[in-house]
Amino acid sequence: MDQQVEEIGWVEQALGGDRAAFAQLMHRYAGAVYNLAYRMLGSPEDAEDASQEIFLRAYTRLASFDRARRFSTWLLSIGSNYCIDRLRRRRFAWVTLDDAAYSLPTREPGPERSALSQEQREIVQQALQKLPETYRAVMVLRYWQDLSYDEISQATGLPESTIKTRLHRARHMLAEALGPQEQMLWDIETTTS
Amino acid sequence: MGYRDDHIVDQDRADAALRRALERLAALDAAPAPPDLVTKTARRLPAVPPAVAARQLARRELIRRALRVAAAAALALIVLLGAASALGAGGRLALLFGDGAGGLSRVLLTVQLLAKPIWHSVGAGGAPPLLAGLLALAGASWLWRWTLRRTPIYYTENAP
Repeated sequence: MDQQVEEIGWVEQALGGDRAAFAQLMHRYAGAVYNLAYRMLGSPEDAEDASQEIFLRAYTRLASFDRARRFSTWLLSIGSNYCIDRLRRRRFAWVTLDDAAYSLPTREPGPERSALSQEQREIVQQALQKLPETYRAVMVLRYWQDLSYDEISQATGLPESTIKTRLHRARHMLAEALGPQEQMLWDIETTTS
Repeated sequence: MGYRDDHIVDQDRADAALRRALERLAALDAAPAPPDLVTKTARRLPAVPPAVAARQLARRELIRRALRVAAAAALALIVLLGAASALGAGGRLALLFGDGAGGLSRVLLTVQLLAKPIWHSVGAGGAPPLLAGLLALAGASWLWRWTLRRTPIYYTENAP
């Protein structure tokens, strides 16, 4: 069965209160939603909490889902908006010294840090966290969720030209944030400038 | 024209180059979602079906809008009656609906009397500071929002 038809069927059932149908949708998109939240928010704990909130929001707003659109794009638009709001709220949150110590990355080489690829992923993840939230959102949707410009435009409500401009700037910012650690990204600098 | 074409080509090349670089760094690998994410979320789903919740929300929104319109209409009525009173129409408007001793005419007279001092105080040199204050408030709100949207996020490890 066509994926979109199947999803619309689940949506119709969920609208009537069938939680199992909505659980099917959650199973299908748990990975995508969790990864969006993880790349946007930077920590697994925040990502898990945010993923739950995103699904709850999607459930309560299910009646507003336009059947002509892809469910994934609609869900990711809720997700990216939620993460942006959460990052903005975070600026005003009081951080105690204990919280700060907890959130600092450890300098000791743990088992997960011993592998080079893991360390490289960490470097990219940290560089991503340095981008302003609106730029981070388009980067995550483009490279981690593999959305087209048109789909990002639908998810964010921004015109395609703005998406392209933001991606262009975000690539520069990411290259700067990675700095000399990742020389291989400098070809992006030379390509775009 | 040539510049725009070059620019588009460069965008596509940069897009592909970054994707390749991220793939080389294994940075595009998906982080595994917690296995109990769906179960935990399913437990938190509200009991009210989304379709029913949407209808309730629409009804509440309609009521909220009606109340807002009613409040705005009441405010407009007070302003108009105050203006009428200050301009010398006196109680003529209220007396159109009765003798002022009861009913609608009494309500109108009361509102008119309440609005009169406010209208007079604004008219007696209070308008420019009031306008300046409102403008300052609007400007400060805009500036606050603009700053909030523009400020990049710094995490504890970037803090001095």
